[in-house]
Amino acid sequence: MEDRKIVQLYWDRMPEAIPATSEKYGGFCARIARNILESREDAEECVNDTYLRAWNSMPPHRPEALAAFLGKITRNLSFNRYRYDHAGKRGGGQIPAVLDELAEVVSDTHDVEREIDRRELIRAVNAFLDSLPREKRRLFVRRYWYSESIADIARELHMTENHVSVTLNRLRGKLRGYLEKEGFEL
Amino acid sequence: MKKEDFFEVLGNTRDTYILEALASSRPLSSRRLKWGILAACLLLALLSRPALFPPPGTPQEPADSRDGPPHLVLEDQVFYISSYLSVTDTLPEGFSPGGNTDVDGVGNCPYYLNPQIPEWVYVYQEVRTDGSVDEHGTLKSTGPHDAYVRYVDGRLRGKSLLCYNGNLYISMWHVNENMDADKKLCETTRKIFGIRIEGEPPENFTHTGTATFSGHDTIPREHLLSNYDASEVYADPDNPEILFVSTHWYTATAEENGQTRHDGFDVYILYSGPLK
Repeated sequence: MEDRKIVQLYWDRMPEAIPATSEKYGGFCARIARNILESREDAEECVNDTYLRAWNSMPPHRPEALAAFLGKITRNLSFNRYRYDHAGKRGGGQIPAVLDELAEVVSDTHDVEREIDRRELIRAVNAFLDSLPREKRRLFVRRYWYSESIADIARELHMTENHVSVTLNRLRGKLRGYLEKEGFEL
Repeated sequence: MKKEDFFEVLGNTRDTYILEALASSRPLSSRRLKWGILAACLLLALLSRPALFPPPGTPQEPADSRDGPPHLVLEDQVFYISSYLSVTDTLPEGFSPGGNTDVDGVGNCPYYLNPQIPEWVYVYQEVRTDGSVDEHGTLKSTGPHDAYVRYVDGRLRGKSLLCYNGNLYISMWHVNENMDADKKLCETTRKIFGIRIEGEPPENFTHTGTATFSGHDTIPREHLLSNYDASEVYADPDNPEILFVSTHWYTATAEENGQTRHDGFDVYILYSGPLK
């Protein structure tokens, strides 16, 4: 079913919206959740919660890219669950490694005195992505948005794992430099 | 900034870039969701009560009652509103008054039991649908009125079961390895076959019959009855703990022009849970 038809089902309050979403994007959402959460049950719960959140969001929202809209919900829910489950301790799965890598971009300290303009930071991150060649941007997004493993990325993008790691390392360095140049002290 | 906060910031990556990365991904695997979930969803919406979809078959009462669909507890067993939504104006045959109980999300209501079908409880409560669907499969809405609504044993609700040679088998989609089947069997099956396979069943698994639909929320108790759907069953006499049951599904990735139908088999394993 076309995305606009699925979105219309939500707007018409037709319950078929849920199975239509699941049929088309259930696997996609599950993949995002499973990259973040170790527990299959937790991941499944987050995917189901995604449908409920979508049901409660449309209307008023009418997403132009339904996949991205659902994926963002799943990512947020899954990461919230991850933080809750691993408060104060290191978890398993891909997230600890992903977070460690991101710690190279930010200070990883909480500085209450230094209030970051979050919207500006989001704008700057997207501007950084705008500046990247398509292949490098895909690699970055797969690792830091989808939380995919280095091995999976390497396999799907036909690269060696070492090549992926080195490229990601360079991209993190570039991002840090870009954000500093933009005036962000993270 | 904490790395976790930065991870959240990255969650606001532009939609086009999220999709761009997806375009080079493996095809999305689709996953069926039973029609029933939508029915429950509508009912829950009609009851004007926020609710999540609980993991099917979870016997324990939700830790936070706001996190589950309407349910009641009888003799330590939780019964959830049927995910297929059965609403009738007359009490089904064989059910008789069991008393009154608090139904979470609904209030104090009379309930009805049938010793022949202990996995079901009917509750007389206010609903806003007659339970029927139109030609598009959409539940028909009505004004508020009282009706008998089916609640299902939480250990059964939402699980696809099939009876074969006197044994129950459960779909790998819904198996709870702590309750429904041997843990090792679950792990091995998941590792070898996964939940569903596309194409032909494995060698040695041959067609052994067509399963007949026994009805939603039922425990299929006779050979080749299935509570999910009529379907073709493949078995291997030398591997009696596993069955393959025909199914189909659709995917619609960015690379596909429209949607693509896939034919394959759901993997079922021997059920050893509490339902008999």
